[in-house]
Amino acid sequence: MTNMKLGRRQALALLASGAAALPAAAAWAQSSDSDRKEPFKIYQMTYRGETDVERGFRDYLNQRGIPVEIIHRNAERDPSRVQEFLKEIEEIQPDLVYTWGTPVTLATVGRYNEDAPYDVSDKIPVVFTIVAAPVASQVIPSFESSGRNLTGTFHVVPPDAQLRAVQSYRPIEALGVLHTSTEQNSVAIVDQLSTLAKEQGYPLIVRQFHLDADGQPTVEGYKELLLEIKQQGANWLIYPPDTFLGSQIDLIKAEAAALRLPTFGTTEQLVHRGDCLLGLICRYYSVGQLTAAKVEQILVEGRDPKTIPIETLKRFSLIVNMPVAKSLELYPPLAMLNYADVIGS
Amino acid sequence: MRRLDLALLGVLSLLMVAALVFVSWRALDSAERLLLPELNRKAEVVGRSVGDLLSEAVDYGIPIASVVGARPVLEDSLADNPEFSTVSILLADGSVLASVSNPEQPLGSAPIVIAVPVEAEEERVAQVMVQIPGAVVERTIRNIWLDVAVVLLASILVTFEMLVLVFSADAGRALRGLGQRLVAISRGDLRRHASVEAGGLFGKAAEDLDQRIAGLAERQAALKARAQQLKQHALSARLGDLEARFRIGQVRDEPPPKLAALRAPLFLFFFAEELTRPFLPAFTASLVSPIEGLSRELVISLPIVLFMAIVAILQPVLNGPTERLGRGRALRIGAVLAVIGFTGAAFGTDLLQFLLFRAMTAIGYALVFVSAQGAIIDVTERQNRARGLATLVGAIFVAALCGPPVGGILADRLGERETFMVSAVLALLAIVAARFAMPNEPKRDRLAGSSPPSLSAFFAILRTPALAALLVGCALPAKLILAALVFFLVPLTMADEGFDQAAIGRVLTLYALAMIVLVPLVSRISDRLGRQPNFVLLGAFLSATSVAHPLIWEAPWGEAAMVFQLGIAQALSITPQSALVGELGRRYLPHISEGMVYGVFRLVERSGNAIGPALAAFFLGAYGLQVALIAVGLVSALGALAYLAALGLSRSTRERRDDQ
Amino acid sequence: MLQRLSLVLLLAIAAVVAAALALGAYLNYGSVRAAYMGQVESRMNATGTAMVHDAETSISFGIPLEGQETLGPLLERILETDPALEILDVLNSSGVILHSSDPERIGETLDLFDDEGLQLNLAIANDFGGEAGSLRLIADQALLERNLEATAAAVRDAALYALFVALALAVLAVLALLSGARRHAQDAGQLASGAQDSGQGWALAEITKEQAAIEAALEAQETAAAAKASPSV
Repeated sequence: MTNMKLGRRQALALLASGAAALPAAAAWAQSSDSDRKEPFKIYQMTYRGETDVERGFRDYLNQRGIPVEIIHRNAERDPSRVQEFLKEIEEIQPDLVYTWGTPVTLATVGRYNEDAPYDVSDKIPVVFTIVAAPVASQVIPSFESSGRNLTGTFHVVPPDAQLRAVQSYRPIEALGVLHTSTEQNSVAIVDQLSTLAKEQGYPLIVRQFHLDADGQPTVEGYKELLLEIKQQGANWLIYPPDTFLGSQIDLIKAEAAALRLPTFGTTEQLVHRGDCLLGLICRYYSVGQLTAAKVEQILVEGRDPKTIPIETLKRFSLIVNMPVAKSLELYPPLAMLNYADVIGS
Repeated sequence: MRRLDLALLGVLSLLMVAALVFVSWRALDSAERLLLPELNRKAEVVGRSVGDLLSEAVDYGIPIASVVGARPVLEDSLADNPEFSTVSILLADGSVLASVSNPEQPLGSAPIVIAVPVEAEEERVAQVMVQIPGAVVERTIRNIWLDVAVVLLASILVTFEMLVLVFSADAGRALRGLGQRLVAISRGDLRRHASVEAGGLFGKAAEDLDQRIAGLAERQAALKARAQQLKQHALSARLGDLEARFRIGQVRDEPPPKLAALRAPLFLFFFAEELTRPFLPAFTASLVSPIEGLSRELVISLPIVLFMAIVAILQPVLNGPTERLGRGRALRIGAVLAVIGFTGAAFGTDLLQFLLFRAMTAIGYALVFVSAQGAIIDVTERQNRARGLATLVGAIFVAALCGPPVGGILADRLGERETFMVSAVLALLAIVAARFAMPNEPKRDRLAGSSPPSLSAFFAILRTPALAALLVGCALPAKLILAALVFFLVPLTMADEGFDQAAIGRVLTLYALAMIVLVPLVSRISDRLGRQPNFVLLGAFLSATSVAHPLIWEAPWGEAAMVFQLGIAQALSITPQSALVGELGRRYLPHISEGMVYGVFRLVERSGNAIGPALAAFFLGAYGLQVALIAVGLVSALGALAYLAALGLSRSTRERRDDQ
Repeated sequence: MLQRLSLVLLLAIAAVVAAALALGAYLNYGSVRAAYMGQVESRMNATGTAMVHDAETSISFGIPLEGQETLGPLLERILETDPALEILDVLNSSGVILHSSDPERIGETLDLFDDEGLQLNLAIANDFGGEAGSLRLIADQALLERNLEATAAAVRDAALYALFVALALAVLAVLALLSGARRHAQDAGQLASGAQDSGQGWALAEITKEQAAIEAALEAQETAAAAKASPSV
């Protein structure tokens, strides 16, 4: 009866873990036995210098005993600088090119459906990371395959998972969202939120930043927008991945706190800088490890990047900001302490 | 007490009940000493994990009284530990923060309470209480009471079969015969008994009684003749009254007492095969390597399909050969083949070997079945043949009743391969018992009995719409659905869902249980009522609808309801169907012998056994369980509709004929 | 012949009773054992799951398993609180022991199938579902078996005792059967000779009486008929 089942289940678990361990062990053995004196050359381009992604990337390769030489270049928030880097790549001929962020990635490999001025991935495999919406921004046609000498990772938590996290903290009565109408990425996310809100049966109160005469977003009038959200009954304010919102987060967070509106952040930046009560995010460090795992598949296992799917993490981090919870007197449910990272106490 | 053999069975059954209850009680007693401390420790671990979470919350600065969502945490720990009755959090001021109870574990008397203090910042802020019902250990052990009951039932049935065997030996047979005579005489039943064919004290005593009754019968016959001759109608009537009261001069329609000896080897043999029922599909699944062009499910069904196909094909053709060989010898050869088959299956390492050994067992099975049937037909006359064949049917039913649950328990406890070895040993014992029950008869050249169905008879029967509709529309689907569900789908899918073999065996045994209770009842009612087609149709309808249960109820109840309803359905149709075949054969095809008609009937019917698992496996592999169930049910429903149509057609033509 | 019958009967009964008791006793013991092992395992699982959770959280903060220096002391502390545990290991994905409650094991590579006893392997995953390593908890099998031994002995003794008593009673039952059989033979003898027709043989008595009456009537008729046939004589 139960003991037999346990016995069998145990055996199965053993088998499963044994089987799972085998390929990894084989790869490990391969990489250590291959006695590679010459390290792999990886040309790394970032948007604004080194982040936790690069740290996770390096740590993973070190732990797996994969010898690499990383040549790091910082675009300093100017994608046009990528042109110089491409020339350098031509000279160095690295084994792999690494790109961070949508602008750098697009400048390097172009869109899949137009002729790029110069596509590095013609000759050298490219792995991208921190491209929030790789399909929407046309880096790749689908998550299964890039169709090119290219693969990568992204860092956005699916909206339904985010709403589940919010619900498990406190049920949503009405959900407020403030975003920029000119940002493709954030409009797409708000569309998804609106569909989900309809399914789950609560109102989504959307407010957009005003635009100035040039059609550029402006922070003017944000207090009224937030007040409207609060007055329409929102008991949560969600910060979508939105560059303009990110740049104005200091103003927004002060007003949200004044209105005693609990906030939810969708990226690591927003959660930390925006003093969100709650956030569900992909840790940059882990994204870096995942990116390195893709590099391992290409350089060590010799897989064609075309066959490697573009993925995000399987597990996200739930972050609870305890000082904010205290000031709002809105404490997390007890069970959440089991799986949340509590900060600021 | 005159039936000493039955009295002995009763005493032994009581003895075994008492012994097993005693063992269970002692086990329970020592289990408490083992499990209770363990349970307390577990309650502490659970309490501490809740407490740690609370301390953490307080350490984060959440006031203990403001902690939210404590209830779901307690619900989770209770769900993980269903043996606990209540988990609660009490604050330092004595108020209850949250408390969750399991309604299935009432506290009962003398509950155990474990209290784990919760400390934060070196202060006691709360305590977590875990309550365990007093009778929890008993409840843990209660799980096996069903298994113990199965063992008990099986041992009583086996004891019964053993007693039948012992009481079929010379002295026992005489003793049993003597008991039967004394009971009959004290009830005023003076029919003639079949001779006990035994000497000794009891044989002599039985013989003496037979002589006294024979003397009375002789005198009765002589008096009747004289009264008739003298045309003394009043006296003839008085003699008639006597005959009606005491049934003097009549012969009991019981088979020869020696035939009872056949029951034990047959029971042992079929029991050996039935043991494999609950685990055969899952065991096959463990051997299966992919075969190109066949789904995994289809490959799993192969051993069952092969087995059933061999039995269906061989049964009609083996009668002659077993008669030439001698029934006893043929039966023992069959059992030897099965011993080899079971042993091989126990040690076989791949599917091919397994198929080979299952095929050997199938040949053995067919040989044993046909030899036993032949042996019974050889020694019975028309009036006691049905009772004689009941020996065979009874052995099969009892084996089907206790084989699957015992097989399940053995497979769980010892393993599947070891259970095959148990089957091999049982088949070996069957050989020994058969040696004892069926002495070697001389080889015979004369060929009596039924010959295998000829092609011409086969086609003549299938061209008769009424018979064809009954055979193909009802008889074949009946076996098809039985084999598809009971032999294949239920054991395979229940094993996939994680049920142990013992549970599967208990579900499968419901089929035999329904049959054993209902078949005698139905055959009596349908004999009296006629209306066989209605019984057959009702059976087919119940068979077809039984597949709905697993779609409605949760496992294992859906499966159990399905198997039980299937048993009821088949009990309803099996006897009337067989009677109907004979009747239709006599009406439409008087030139074909009854034996031939029944031969074709059995062949068509048994081919359903082989088709069923293959069909179910195909649908299971291609479309999943629900479609497979519905497909099998549909076959039965469509067959019944076809039969209904044919019935209506033949009725209307008959009426037209009557009108003209 | 009677002796032989009794002997065969007793042998058959002994075999069935012994088999039933053996299976019944084994089922009882097996279920206690299963419940006990299940409890030990569920406790191991609770302990292990909490540890795996801590290790995984640390990994997502960027501390690899190798670098989680607090794990070793934690393993030793847990071992002290649960006597059923013998060894706790944290392994990397290639099966090399990184931390252990027994520091001498560190660095060894373990075959995953080397231990027959109760053990639990829980995977430690990184944030993208990859395997970072595993936690292995090995129960103190010898201790568990020692604890179970008392139950095994109790069940075994009970089964033997029950078998002995059952067999003794079975012998009595068979003896009673034999004496009953002798009485039956006597009864049969008396019935056959007509000596006991008032009791069990009531049917025999009645039919004999009725047949005699009818025979007498028939004889009377025959006499009357004969007289009619030759009245002059």
